[in-house]
Amino acid sequence: MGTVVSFLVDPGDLPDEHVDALLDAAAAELHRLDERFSTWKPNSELSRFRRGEVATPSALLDEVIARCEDARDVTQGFFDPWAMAGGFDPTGLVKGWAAQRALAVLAEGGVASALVNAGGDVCVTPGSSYDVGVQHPRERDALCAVVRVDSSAATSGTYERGEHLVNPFGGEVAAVSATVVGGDLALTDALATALAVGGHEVLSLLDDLAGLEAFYITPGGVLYKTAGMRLGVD
Amino acid sequence: MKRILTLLGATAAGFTSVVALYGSPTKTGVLLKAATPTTAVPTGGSTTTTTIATGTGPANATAVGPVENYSYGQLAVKVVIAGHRIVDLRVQGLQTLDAYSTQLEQYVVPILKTEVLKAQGIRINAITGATYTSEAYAYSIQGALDKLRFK
Repeated sequence: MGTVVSFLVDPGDLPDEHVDALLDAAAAELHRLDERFSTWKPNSELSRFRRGEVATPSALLDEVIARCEDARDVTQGFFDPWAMAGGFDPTGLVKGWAAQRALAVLAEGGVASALVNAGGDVCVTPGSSYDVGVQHPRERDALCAVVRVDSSAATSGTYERGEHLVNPFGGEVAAVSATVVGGDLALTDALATALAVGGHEVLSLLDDLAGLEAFYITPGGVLYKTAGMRLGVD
Repeated sequence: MKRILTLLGATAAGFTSVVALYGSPTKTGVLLKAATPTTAVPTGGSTTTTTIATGTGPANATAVGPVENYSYGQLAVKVVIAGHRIVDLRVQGLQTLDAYSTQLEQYVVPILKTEVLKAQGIRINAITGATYTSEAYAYSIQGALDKLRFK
């Protein structure tokens, strides 16, 4: 199993070769981070860390750990990489964080605008705006919302293959699908996971956070959203 | 200067492939999100790079991919090619079942099909959510490309 990463780039005045080189560099960054943070590769730094074999984490791993701690605090424990079976698993945050780093490669390279979509975790360059469809959790050929994204959006759901959500508090998982829009994608990614797990409690937290909107859908097909969340664009 | 670039990297997990579609956002429709990892990505450790749109196909063409049937409906993707480059991808031929409907704090989940989005002039740049539908997109796009012998 794996994640597909898509780039949508408006190159502006950049020549083709330059854009090709930037895309190569962005892809290389993703592969580099995957090498380091894969839980599937026994020799990745993360795998070794999980086995207690890393005495001094790299700066990158330190950054991921710090961001996980922040996300755990913000979600009041509903996002908790330390509660995963098999030990510390930051995957719910790393994908978005890595996409953001790949986007930075393009942005710093001078593209006019760009969107990176890492398996459903979307981030866009500052100052740009893209319409992103949110997959309907039950209707395969339909969306349940279209959201305008000028920073990031992430969806977490139990209907997605290979995705296993764990409630750190031992209860049920609240949502079949949860979407968070806004802010830094590393956090957005983690928040979507937390919202899928925690449902109403996490939605209330998000309602109080500036710059973030969110909604989730229960197994019974009811949608709950933050006050400012719009499910379509005009 | 529009093209699709597909990078398929093989890893057991994580970022296994990269699909890039670039050009002005106003000229692109549905963003290619997925190759089909079960068939397109080798399971070994090698990395391959494939560039689609190398100009071996027709200079200008439009094709609609095969209609994919699902239990809930149908999906097809239209590919527009100009000057040997893919310039547009759009979802075709879907229908609406429902519109927004609200109750107090609970909402019925909207079912937005492409016809509605088109009627509203909405272009989707990317999809956030499930894996299988993006695979369907890719499969259908590939079908359209094959139809044009544009590989």
